[in-house]
Amino acid sequence: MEEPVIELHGIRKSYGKKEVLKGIDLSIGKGELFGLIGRNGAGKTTIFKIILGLSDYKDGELRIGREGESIEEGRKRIGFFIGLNFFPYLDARGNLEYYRTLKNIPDRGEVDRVLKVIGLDTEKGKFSTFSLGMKQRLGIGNALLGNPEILILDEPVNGLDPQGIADVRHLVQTLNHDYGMTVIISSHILGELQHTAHRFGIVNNGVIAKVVTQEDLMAADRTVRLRVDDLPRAKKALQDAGVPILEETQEAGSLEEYYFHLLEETDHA
Amino acid sequence: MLNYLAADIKRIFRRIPRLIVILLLALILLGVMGVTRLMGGEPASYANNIGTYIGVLSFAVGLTELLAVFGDDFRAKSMQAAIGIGISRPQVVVSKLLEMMLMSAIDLVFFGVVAVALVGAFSAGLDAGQLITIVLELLVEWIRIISFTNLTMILMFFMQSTGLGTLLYLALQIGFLNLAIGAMALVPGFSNLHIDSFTLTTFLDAFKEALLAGKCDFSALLGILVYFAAGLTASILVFRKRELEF
Repeated sequence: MEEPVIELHGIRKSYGKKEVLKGIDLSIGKGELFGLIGRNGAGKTTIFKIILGLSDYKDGELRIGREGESIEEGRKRIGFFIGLNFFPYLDARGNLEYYRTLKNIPDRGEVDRVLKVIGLDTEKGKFSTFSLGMKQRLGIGNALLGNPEILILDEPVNGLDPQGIADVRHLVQTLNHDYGMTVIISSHILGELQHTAHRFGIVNNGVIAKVVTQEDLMAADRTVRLRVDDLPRAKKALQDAGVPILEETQEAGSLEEYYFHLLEETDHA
Repeated sequence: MLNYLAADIKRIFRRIPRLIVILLLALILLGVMGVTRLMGGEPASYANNIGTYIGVLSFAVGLTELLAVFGDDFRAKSMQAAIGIGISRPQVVVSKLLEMMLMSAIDLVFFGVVAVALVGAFSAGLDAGQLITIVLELLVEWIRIISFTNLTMILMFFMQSTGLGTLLYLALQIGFLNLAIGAMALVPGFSNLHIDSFTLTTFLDAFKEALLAGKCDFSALLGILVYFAAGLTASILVFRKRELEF
């Protein structure tokens, strides 16, 4: 893993008497595309809120950005999409202009660039008239304003149609691969996340139960697919070990299966 | 912090309902003065009545700007976005107060100019003394708006909404809290404490009275500043560790 840009060590957080985070240890490397998964209420959004300074934490340490930087300075490197922070009476351009000023981005063309990326460049209506998909896209656009080094996306594909989901996946992968942007993304659509991220943190019972990579998933469930020209004969032949195998492909196990298996294991531990 | 301020000011100027209210208030001012003129009111009386008009207008101005500055922000949760990109929470609180100061000052200057122009249109004009009185009235009303907003902010930052804060603002503006405290002073045991002498409204009224008489009541000014510092500190403290939702 490259030099970490976000590190959480032993972060604990309670809501009243209920402890939701019981010591989160997580390290995200520069240029990584990291997926955060867990049940509803597992604490994924709370982890994001702690990183962004919107939620206080009891114990532990948090570091963002480069070595020696303050947390506030580090936060300036983050673009995020957690909720829809927009004014209903402004259009897409007006809302992004608001955030361009807030983020102190001098380039006036930045809003046009982002509107094109998210496909809202010809949209004139007010935010209040947007469909959920358009709102989600504007939220992602806001996160992209100013080309941040780190991108935090909390359930960015909620409400999007299959094409929208594919577009977001392509966008996230391009930003990570071509621009070296560090991306942390959470989603309930595990199959989708598996196609997007490189490494996955599984949040369960207030801790990061496991961090797994694509390679781990592949090793965890070794499925061998055989293509033969005569299946019954092949089966028999296989038994006798006499029929040649025309194609053999090794596929990664499903993240979804791995996740539920791990939840079951940790719940009973 | 200044970026947050600039972004919000630009945003507020694009808020159509706010512009409508401001224009409506200007029309009401025109209407009241026009009707007074039609009913045969003495031209000189306009100047004397301006203080009353400004008082009523500042009440509406404060409420309008309170909803524009705080209400939209709480609803859109843009405050969370500002904190997420590295603006500290105390800076958010101070920015909001500065916004309120700036927006109410712009509105009051606008109404001051409109009022003076109307006096000019309806009568022979104002002498220097009347003009100074109008400026002082505007200044005192501006201080009143800021002082009440400052106290209201404690509740708004705690609740993360404008609902109860707006009610508190109204209670302060109409003097309801001062009346309640005045009534408490009648209760045996409380009367010796003279609590009613230490309310913000009492200090503001004393300061205004002295200022319009050409003096400065330093003890009233000190009282206002103490309330101001205490209110701002309390807002920062209640907001410091508040859980912010998206």
